[in-house]
Amino acid sequence: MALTIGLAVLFVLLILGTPVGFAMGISGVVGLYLIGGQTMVVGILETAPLSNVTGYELITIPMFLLMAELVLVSGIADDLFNAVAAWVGRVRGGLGMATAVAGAGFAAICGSSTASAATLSATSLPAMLKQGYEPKMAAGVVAISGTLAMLIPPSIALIIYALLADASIGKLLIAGIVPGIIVTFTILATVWFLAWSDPRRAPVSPPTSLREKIRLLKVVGPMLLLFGMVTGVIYTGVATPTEAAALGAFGALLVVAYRGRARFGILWPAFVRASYTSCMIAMILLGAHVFGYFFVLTQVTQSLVAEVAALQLEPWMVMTFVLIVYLVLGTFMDQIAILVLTVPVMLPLILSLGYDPIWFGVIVIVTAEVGLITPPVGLNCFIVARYARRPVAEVFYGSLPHVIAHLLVIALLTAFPAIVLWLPNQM
Amino acid sequence: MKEEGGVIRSTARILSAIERVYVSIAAVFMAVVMFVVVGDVFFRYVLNSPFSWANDLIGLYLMAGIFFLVLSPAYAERAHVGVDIVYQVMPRRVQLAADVVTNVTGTAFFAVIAKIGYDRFISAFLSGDVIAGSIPWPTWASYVLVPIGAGMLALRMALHLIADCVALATGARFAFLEEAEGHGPEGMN
Repeated sequence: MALTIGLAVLFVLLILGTPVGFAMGISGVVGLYLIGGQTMVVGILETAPLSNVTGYELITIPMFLLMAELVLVSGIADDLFNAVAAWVGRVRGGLGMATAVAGAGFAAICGSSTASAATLSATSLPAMLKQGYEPKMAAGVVAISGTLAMLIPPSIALIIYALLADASIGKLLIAGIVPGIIVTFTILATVWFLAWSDPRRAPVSPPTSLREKIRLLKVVGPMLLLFGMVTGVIYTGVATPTEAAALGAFGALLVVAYRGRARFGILWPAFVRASYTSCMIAMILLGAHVFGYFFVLTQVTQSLVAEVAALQLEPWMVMTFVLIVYLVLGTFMDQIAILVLTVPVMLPLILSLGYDPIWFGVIVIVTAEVGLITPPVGLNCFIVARYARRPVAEVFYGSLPHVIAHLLVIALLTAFPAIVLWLPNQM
Repeated sequence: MKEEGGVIRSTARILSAIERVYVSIAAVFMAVVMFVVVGDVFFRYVLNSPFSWANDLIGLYLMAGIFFLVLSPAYAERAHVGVDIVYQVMPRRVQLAADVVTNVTGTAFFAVIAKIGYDRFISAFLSGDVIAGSIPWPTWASYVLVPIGAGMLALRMALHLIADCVALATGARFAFLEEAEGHGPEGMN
């Protein structure tokens, strides 16, 4: 009974547009009150709000968000795209491929896929359109390339999963590398295929002189520095993910300064935006925390695991079903909301089937990426549409080939968990 | 009626002014967290003497400060992400009615958190509680952030609730309810 009421309150609030963290907190309190009365509610609300934000590992979130904001204002993304475009622009579909490579490079220094989609929209999209690219194709490759940021470390989404699943942040971040490379190559292959099947879609760029090509490479230095300061130190174990995140933010600050943009008017809004987003994420985690207490007391996950076990299905059948659920949720819900609402329920089930929590985290993120580029609420497509001033339907249509290719990648990573787990197991 | 709307608007301006101070403090905290963690790493590896106080300072005060101080301004800017697929297609009046539900439940939720937090702060303050560590940081200075932040959000949600009701009843428009439609700052994925 308490479970039904708690869930009903949650879903009504979510449908009415109540912020996810608020909705989870409120429905959690209602449920806890029904189970344990006022004493239980007071007991949890006394400690949860503070203990939620005082954890050492939570510091990774504001620091990676700050790094993302600083990388954005550094203007490094423009140069990154220009450098790659100069080198591969002569290939058929070259600028599209440059977008994917710049997206992967940017992802390696920025953990936010919306930030990445916005940046690529502002840089590579105009370049492609100027070159005479089919707008649909250009928009699609930008939207999908933006999703790489949530897979390639540093990834905010993977950190949130780690906090929810109580898994190693370091291992999860490193586990995103190989799948990130695979997704990048998949985008490259899709672009190549599209350009090959109809060359008018993607005209070849004019050549760039070798001197210019080499001059453009100077952006690679700061990028590698930031990548090393974050992913390098995590992989080698020199610093904890928390320290790596702060080093990354500091490194990004240095890059901003090096590029002569360290002015108060530029830096201050970046710090403010990072605080807003950090607070938003911490609020969702607090809501999930309160709701989680309630959920554990109802023992609903244990019954779910027992029921699924009683069905005697093959693990891959359950896994396929789980992935379909994530794909459906991804079409209309925010990716972080999906994580906090589903991971506490799904993870015990997945573990009972003998799967690895690190692998599952990466699979969930790769699956969630699809939701960013599918209607009706694929956020990246809306961002691209807004920047490109094109109809959002066109962007969704342009993303379709990438969605299909992405589903193949999900199937591959699901069938061969070793692809995901090999690198983190070397740590 | 106009007068009533005037009170709501001036209250909104006062809350916004306080929130701007909150946000400024939080942004400074953000910078301090970064410098302290980087400094800690530097001192540990290069000088072999890490800051023993770093984690307590960050966990107790700075992270709690960033979260609680930004709680209310983030709501004002609609930076708290929601599932707005249904909300966005609602007619404006239905949206206002939905907001009434959000603001009623939210006011209650955050007021309770603020009250419980306030009691805890007072009790820690009176007994002079400190944490067990190399530096005996006072706990009340951390606990006080809970009523300061959650209380502010409860006030803001109560104000939005009143404005929603007035808007529903009279058709009055309040810029602070409408100016930040949709999502606020992006970039969380």
